[in-house]
Amino acid sequence: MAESEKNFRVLSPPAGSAFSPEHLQYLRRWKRDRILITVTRWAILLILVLGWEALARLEWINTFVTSQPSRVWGVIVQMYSSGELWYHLGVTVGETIAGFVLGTLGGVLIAILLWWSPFWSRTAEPFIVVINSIPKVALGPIFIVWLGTNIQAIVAMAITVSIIVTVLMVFTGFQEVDENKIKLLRTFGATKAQVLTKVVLPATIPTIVGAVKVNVGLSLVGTIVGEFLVAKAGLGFLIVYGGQVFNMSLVMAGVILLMLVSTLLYYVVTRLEAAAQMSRAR
Amino acid sequence: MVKQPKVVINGLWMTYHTLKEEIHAIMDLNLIIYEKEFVSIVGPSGCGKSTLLSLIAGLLRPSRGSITVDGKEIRAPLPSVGYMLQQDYLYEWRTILQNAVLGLEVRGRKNPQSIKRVIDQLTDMGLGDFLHSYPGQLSGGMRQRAALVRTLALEPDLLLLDEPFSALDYQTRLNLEEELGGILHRLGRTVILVTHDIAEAISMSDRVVVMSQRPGTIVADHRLDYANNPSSALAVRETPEFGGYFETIWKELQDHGGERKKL
Ligand SMILES: Nc1ncnc2c1ncn2[C@@H]1O[C@H](COP(=O)(O)OP(=O)(O)O)[C@@H](O)[C@H]1O
Ligand SMILES: [Mg+2]
Repeated sequence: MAESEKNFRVLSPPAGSAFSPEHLQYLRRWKRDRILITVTRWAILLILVLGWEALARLEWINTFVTSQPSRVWGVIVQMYSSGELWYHLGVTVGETIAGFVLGTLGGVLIAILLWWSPFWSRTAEPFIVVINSIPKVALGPIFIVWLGTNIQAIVAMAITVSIIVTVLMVFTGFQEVDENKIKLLRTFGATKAQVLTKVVLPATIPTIVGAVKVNVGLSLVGTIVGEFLVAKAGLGFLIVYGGQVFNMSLVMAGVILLMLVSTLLYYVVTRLEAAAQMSRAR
Repeated sequence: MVKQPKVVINGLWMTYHTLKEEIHAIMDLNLIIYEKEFVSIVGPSGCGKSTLLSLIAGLLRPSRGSITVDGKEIRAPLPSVGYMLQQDYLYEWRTILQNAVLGLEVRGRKNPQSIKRVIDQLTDMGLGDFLHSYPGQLSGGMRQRAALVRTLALEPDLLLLDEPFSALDYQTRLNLEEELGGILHRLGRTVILVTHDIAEAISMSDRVVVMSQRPGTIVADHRLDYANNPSSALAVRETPEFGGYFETIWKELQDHGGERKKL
């Protein structure tokens, strides 16, 4: 959608341009469809929310298990006025960012070490494959025992879910760099460190950005699971706590806030990706 | 005038080892190339031409035999040897200027003067307006010119050119041959040009060496002489001698193009 919107802006004729009537008609139709799609999207959302509220007020559904939009909104407003809202959001976002930054950096670093030593990359391969194949969240209890029921255990969880994937993605990217681009640098007598910094890393930037994109989502999963297990704060804590005390409005509020957080993080990363692509100029 | 040997190749063998097989790429190759000579090496594809250049460049170690440049055994790539690969391999994340100074950067010789020289060279080659463009925006011929500047930036006195025109269309190719021939003559460097195009070999060089099918060795060595010295690569194609040389080399490639018999 963002892509085609950009195209549209490029295609928009400057005043007094020489576009043919057919082309202008094509552009008009395109614009009309775009408006229709946007309106329909909002309408669907509105119907869902209003329908939910109406069914609750008519008591056709049991609000004890489904809650209702007005109450969810009430919970969010109340958390906002007590200052809890930003606190819980901040905790979850902070843990996620810590997890994904450390997971990505650590993963790239390990990939570099493996690239540096073919002996160790061949040796490590089965270990990495096995570690990658276990569901990382199963390691949660281990982190709790080792690190305690605290924020460190949550961040460790967030790192674990993203680091191995990063190693695999980035190391594969390193190996896919054109041999001849490396050969070219070697004709100038380049050292291994120069091959790394002047060809291998820059050529792999698209892969690394792709890993970052995947990692944001994975780290959020790790963080929420970590919060389920040990937290006293954060969206994961709100959701689990709400479930335990049968406060469905709190659970729903937590889930909706989580949706907003993941959308926001995804948006930021997409912007980062676009910036990276711009600086490479194709 | 006694010519100084520049490159001396003595009893050279090169074998590649893979899990499945051993590939004998070069077998007992002997060759002396003299200072300021422009030598072309022609041979069927897969006969070991690129391997030979990589060995001279110090990117590979011979299985047997020796290669000396200026009397010294090659152990690692020398700053005085420039190597142009079969394609430009410009880095798409660097501008043309940043690509052209890559060698200087690696050798730690990037400074305002050397950058200025590279800019002048790019400008001479008609790339003045593209210094800050990315390779994707340039045509094949322009990209190969940029690659040439990148090689010449280190001021090598021995140039190894591996089919530098093979990826270009015919017209661009003739133009670049002409241009490169002129530049290299002016600079007076020793040049080894690898190609499978006989006409290109004859028109650009003083000497044509013919290699056999893999495992490659040298089967003929021609010093080209003309009654009226042609002024350029294109002019060579117009000389009365051109046809004769072409036919001879063509015949030699035919005779040695098939699988070599075990000796
Ligand atoms: N790295 C390598 N590993 C194994 N075999 C190789 C390698 N490089 C080249 N060869 C083989 O050596 C032979 C000569 O290759 P090359 O020097 O590239 O030939 P040319 O440049 O004359 O076409 C070919 O049969 C090729 O398959
Ligand atoms: Mg070749």
